[in-house]
Parts: sequence; structure tokens; C-alpha cells
Amino acid sequence: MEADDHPKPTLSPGHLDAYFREGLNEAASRQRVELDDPTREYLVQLLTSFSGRESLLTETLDDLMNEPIGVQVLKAMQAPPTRRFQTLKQLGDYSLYMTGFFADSITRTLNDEKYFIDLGQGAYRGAASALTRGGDGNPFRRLLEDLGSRFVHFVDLLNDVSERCFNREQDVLRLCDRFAATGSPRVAARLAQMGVAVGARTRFDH
Amino acid sequence: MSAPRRDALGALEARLCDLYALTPGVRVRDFVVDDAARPELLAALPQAPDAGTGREALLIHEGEDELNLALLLEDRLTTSDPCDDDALDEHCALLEGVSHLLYVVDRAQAGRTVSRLELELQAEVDKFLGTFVMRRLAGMAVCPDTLRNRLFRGFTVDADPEARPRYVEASRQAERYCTWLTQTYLQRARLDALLPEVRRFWRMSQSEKLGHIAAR
Repeated sequence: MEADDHPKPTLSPGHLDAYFREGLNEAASRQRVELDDPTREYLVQLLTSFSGRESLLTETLDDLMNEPIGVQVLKAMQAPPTRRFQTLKQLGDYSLYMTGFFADSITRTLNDEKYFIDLGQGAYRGAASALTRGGDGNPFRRLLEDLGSRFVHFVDLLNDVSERCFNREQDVLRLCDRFAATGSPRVAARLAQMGVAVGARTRFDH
Repeated sequence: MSAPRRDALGALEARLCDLYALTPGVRVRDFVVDDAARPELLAALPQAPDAGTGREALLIHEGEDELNLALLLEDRLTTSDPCDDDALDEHCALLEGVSHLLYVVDRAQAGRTVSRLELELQAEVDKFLGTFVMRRLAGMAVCPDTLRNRLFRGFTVDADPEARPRYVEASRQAERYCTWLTQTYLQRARLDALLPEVRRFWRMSQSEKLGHIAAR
């Protein structure tokens, strides 16, 4: 990718949501990922709110630096429904943002990406199941279930938006490692564009 | 239980007890429910319908002054060869069951509580150390990095959504700890110093284990 492919974005607060919306639409179109309006707006809001923070931590995630995220997910799953929903949703958001927007940072230790994906999926699914009002017809519950079940696809979308922001160079070896760790369709497609064929991952159940 | 399966189980139990300097005062085989006995036990426990579906499961029932334990193990697990890469999955399931039983018995005898995360974390560490030790004792050349990658990378967790984070976190913490053990002891051939470390770790509580790993 040439450095001039994308003009350097200006991320003023008033334009952030439009910038992210455009980026997500382009990414969804390019990757052929189905992205309905509520989900897109949820992702726009997620990106905007995290981008506007000096710290990624919120009140309920204030132990994040001291306690592993998996332990927090486990604790949240034992909490009363309202707190369970809030905390798991936030942990899902945090995992999606970290994996999607800062993939290059966390893939320096590869298992971190798989870890965030596994826990992010679980957190969103847990948040969905904590939403009992309205049953299966609750649209927000369906949205959260979708975020959990297609988590890797949404990570890929955010990867695209992140690249659009930071215009990173690609590293074939790192992409190969990331594909081995996550099986991401987007990474496989990017490798194919670069002339690198990848096969199915070997999986080991235990 | 047949003699070969009883011997294989006894050998694995002995390796873990040696590794961690344990004197449990019970024999694992006395708690094992094999394929033939499983239907009868499960019929008597209608409140535990999921227990019959797994390859390995530790059933725990707490009474007023007693703890009832049953270790369900599929017969094929107890004959899995620890040196056979193709049977590593089955051998690890066996190791996990024995690890759980020894850990719960120890904590119960000491009057200590045990969390599920703590139980899974120790079992993950035991899979790595137990397999490493048994292969080395069988005369195999074992590359700890390869074994660790095999155990902790690229695996899938078949668990319900509530249990899944526990397995994911346990695996991640165990991988960190085993990576540190590899770099600090195994790659430097400091096996004499490894034993006090892993014995101390085995006796730590969940918060102590997590803190210990975070500090490495």
C-alpha cells in the first residue's frame, strides 16, 4: 500500500462519528461483511467513545490493570443481571476495541489476540443472555449476540478503520502469525493479495 | 478396572505426587468410575445430567462432614500413551482428571476452599509438567517450547458460554507460567531448582497463583 492512498485524517471530535461511519461502510463493502444500521451505529459509538477517552478504563473496569480480563468476565457472570449486563458489555467492547483498533500492538504477543477474541465473544454472549426483557425478540439482545458470534468479522472491520487512521505498513510475517493465531478471513485475504497462500489452520482440541 | 489401566493410572498419579511432593493418603483408582460403571452412577445422579457426556469429569458432592468424589474417566484415556503425539489430547484429559482429584482432596484435607479457575489453572500446568516429566523419564527428547505450543496455542474450547472464560483464562495464565518455567529452568537444565518452585506454586491459592504469574 502506498503511503498516499489515504489522506491523513483529521480527527476532530465533531467529525469522528462520520469518519468512523464512512470507514466502517467502506470496510464492510470491501470485506463483504453484512453490517446493518444498528450494528454499524453501535460500532461507530464504540469507536467514538473510546477514542475520546484518555483512559480506556471505565468505572466498572477500573481493576483491569490489576486483574486479568478473564477473571473479570468470570466475576461479572456471577453478578446480578443488571451489573452482569453492564460489565460484560463493557468487557466485550474493550476486547473488540483492543483487538480491532490496536491489533498491531497486541499481536506482539500473539496469544493476546486470541485471548481477547475468546473473551470478547464470551462477554458479548453473556451480556446478551443477561438481557432477559423482551426475550429473543429484544433487538439489542440480537445485536449483542451478533457481535459475539461474528466477533472476528467485526475485529476485521475495525482493523480496516484503524489502518485508515494510522496508515500502517504491512508486515507479511506478522500477518502470517496473526492468521495462524486467529484464522481471520480478512488477514487471509490480505495475505492472498500479497501473494501468500494460506491453508486451513491446524486445531488441537483439549 | 483392568490391570494395565490400573497400572497406567497409578504411574501417572505417582509422577504427579513425586513432582509436587504430595502424600494424599488416597489412591486415585479408588475414585475412578469406568465405562462399565458410569451408567449406574449417572442413573443415581439425575441432578447431574451433563456429567455423562464428557470424556473426563470430577463429580463433587459436599455433605455435612464429608466430601463425596467420583472421577469419571473413559477407559480409552487410561491407556493413552504419554509419549504418543497422536494421543496427547487423550493423555491430557487423563492428566486433567487426576490433577483435579489430587488437588480437591488436598484442599479438602487442609480445610481450604478451591475455585474452579484455580483448579483449571493447576490442571493446565500439570498437563505441561506431567507430560514433560513422563516423556523425559521414558527417555524421549522433549522440546518444552514445542510441547507448550501444542498445549496452549491453537486449541479450541468446547464449553458452555459461562465456563468458557474460565478455560481461556486458565490456559493463558498457565501458558505464561510455563513459558517462564521453560526459560528459567528447563532451557537452563536447572531441574533441581524447578521442583521447589512448582511445589510452592501448587500450594498457592488462586490469588497467590495469579499474583505469582503476574510478577514473573
